[in-house]
Amino acid sequence: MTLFKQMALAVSFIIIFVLGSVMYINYQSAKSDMIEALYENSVNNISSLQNKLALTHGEEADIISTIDSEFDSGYYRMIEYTSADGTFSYRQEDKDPIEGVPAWFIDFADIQIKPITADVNDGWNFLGKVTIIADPTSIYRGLYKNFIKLLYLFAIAVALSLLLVGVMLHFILKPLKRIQNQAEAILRNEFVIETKEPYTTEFKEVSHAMNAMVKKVEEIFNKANEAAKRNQELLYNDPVTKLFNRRYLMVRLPELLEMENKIAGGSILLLAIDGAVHINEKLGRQEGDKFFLQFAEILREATQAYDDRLLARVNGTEFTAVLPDCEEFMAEHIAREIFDDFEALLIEKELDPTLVLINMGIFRYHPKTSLSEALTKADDALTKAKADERKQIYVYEQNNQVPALPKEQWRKILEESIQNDYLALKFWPTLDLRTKTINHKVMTFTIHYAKEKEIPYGDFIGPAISLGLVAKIYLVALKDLLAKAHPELLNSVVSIRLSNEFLKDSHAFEALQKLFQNYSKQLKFQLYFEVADNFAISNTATVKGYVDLFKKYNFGFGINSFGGASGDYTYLKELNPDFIKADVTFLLDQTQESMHALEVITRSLGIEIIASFVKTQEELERLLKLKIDKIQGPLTEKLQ
Amino acid sequence: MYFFKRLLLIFLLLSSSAVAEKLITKKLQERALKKYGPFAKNRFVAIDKKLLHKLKNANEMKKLNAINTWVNYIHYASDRKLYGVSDYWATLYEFVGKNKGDCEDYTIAKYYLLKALGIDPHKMKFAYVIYKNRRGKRISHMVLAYLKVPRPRTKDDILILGNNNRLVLPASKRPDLVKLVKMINGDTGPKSKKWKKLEANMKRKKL
Repeated sequence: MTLFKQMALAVSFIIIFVLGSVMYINYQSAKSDMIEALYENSVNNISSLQNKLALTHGEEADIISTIDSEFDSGYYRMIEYTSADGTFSYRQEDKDPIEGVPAWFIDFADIQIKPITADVNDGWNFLGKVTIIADPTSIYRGLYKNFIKLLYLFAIAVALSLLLVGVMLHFILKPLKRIQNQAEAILRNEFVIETKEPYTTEFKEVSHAMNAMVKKVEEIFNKANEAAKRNQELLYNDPVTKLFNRRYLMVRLPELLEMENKIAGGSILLLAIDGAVHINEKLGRQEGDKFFLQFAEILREATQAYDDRLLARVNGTEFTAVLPDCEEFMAEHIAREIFDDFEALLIEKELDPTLVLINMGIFRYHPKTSLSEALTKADDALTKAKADERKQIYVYEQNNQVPALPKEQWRKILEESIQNDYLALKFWPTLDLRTKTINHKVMTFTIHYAKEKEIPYGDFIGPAISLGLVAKIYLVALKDLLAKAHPELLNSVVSIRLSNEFLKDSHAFEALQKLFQNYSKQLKFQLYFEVADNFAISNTATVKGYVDLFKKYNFGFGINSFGGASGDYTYLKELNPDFIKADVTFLLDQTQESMHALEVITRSLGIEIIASFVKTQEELERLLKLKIDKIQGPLTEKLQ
Repeated sequence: MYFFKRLLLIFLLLSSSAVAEKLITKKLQERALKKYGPFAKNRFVAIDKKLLHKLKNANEMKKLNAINTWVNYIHYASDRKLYGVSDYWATLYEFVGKNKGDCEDYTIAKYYLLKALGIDPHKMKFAYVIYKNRRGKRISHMVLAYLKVPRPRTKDDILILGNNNRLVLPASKRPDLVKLVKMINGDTGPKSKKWKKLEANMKRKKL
């Protein structure tokens, strides 16, 4: 119960009690006044009745007539006469119920009118006794009217005073509401500083304390972020060119190779510069570094069309450019551009082009290409380029290429699958090492086309991207998940990775919104949406829009393929994910300092770290040492 | 809609006031037929047609005599027998409907019928008297007293309409009424509890 409600309740009780007491006292005094007045009136009546009865001289008919006439022309409940010797008595009584007053009120008021008795004398002769009971109808009516009036008054007074109390309490407790909002914001890991100072002393202190706390947490975050950035640079960047180093390339390459895109795969470009000795002799150490920096700039410029590119300086004179979604011929074109710019650079630096040479090898990879295969084949192409004096750019020849399905056939398969919902949902478990339970599942989906043919996600997503059908196919899968019953998911957590292509589609957002509107309420499990890290970094605003949508419908949000590419984690502060998923190789490759910084950042934001692609027991034990206790990957199934 | 409501209200008011002025209505006759049978209905029809209509322009004495005679045809019965209580003031309708009643009921019926015939109600009093029967027993009784003049000086100025004598006679010619205990006004005097109740019952034509 909120403080407002408690205070309002207490004050209301007091008001109702005070007003009720006033009403009770008022009612009681009115009642006793009325009874007293009726009694006085009855005393007058009995006195005159005494006189009239005295005139009858004890004649029975006269007594009856007198009593009848008195009873008929007055307001009595009862008149009774008994002769002194007890031989004659006469009684007139009104037994009709009291009219004009509800029965419950008669029970409630319960007015007891006491009978009044007086003697009847004829001269010195004692005739008998007369007893009267006055009629209480007027008291009941008067009291009832009074009671109703008081009730109205009471209701109005209570309503008015409660309204007043409500307004006052609202005013007094307003700062508390702000403090509550701030507290809730802190729980949501947002850093809100309250600028308005409350008037009430206690609230003021609380507000100050919370502001100080928020500032401290923010400071911790900022420091950790700085440290992470520095560590990241030391760990993964070439100090001269600011390109990534070999270490980073090896960590990230497996993921890049698997990255889903239009053409299913991309190109790897290896560049080797010969003549480092000449460069250093000619330009000196410092200028030599500058030469390489300029060359890095050439590389960046030539590949800038590719958002997901990775440029690394593998060693002093060797460079690697990984270009997902880049076809062979495009890579060749880029290589030629680099070559031209390199030649221009040599002229600018007055270097001898016969001594300083560049050779490039290109390999077109596919999602199933392994790391070693990609590197060997690209290196093979580079070796050939080095060997051939006339040709500086060499493309690895693919002999036995798998014949791909023609585009139109893919279109038919995908459109039919969307139309008839041939999708089948698959759920992969995530293991919680602490509780040894699986309550987190990752969803993916396949296409059941024709009877026996099951097309895995990795196979159809490329064509779907190039045909612009990703959003549609995702929406069908999501509708399956939201609208259909999934008893196996009861009370568990399910997460879905949203394709970058889906997020980029402008219609997808509205369609998703509509889908949530219709189906989000009946869900029997907790749903999380995942977005790739590099996409979240370069499209923070877009992703923020989605995150707000997820939060609105109580869905969770996570980041996967976490790679720390930028080293700056401020986007995490903005997007505030519930978890981040990182490749186990990435996590285990971190230095102690950078892991510590990451830990501080995620702790301060309340983010959970999940390790993905965990394959061996050894990896698992090392993860446990890093206090990472949620894992995904082949090992999970084995442990299960 | 509002206009119709108003129209209906005005109509209701008019019709109800028209009905209220008439002592015996068609509706009452039908109710009497249902409750007490065809004879009761005929009695009401007779009051309406033969008494009230025919006597409209007769002189006061004729009105008094005709009403007295007609009402006295109704049989005597005690309240305890009819209503189960010691004392009950029946309405004109209950009295005529049942065709039975005690002295108060005769008095009330005569009072209302004469009032309907245009006799000034201030001239009619409800008289509590002591009546001595042939065996000499004194009995508490009620009659309707008609004052010939506003301030009667002698017993001759007061005419008695009782149920023990079918003639309308001046009080001086009624030695059987040995004592007058009290005289009260009808519905023109101070309203007692009994009168208030009777008036309310008369207004809703309690059968």
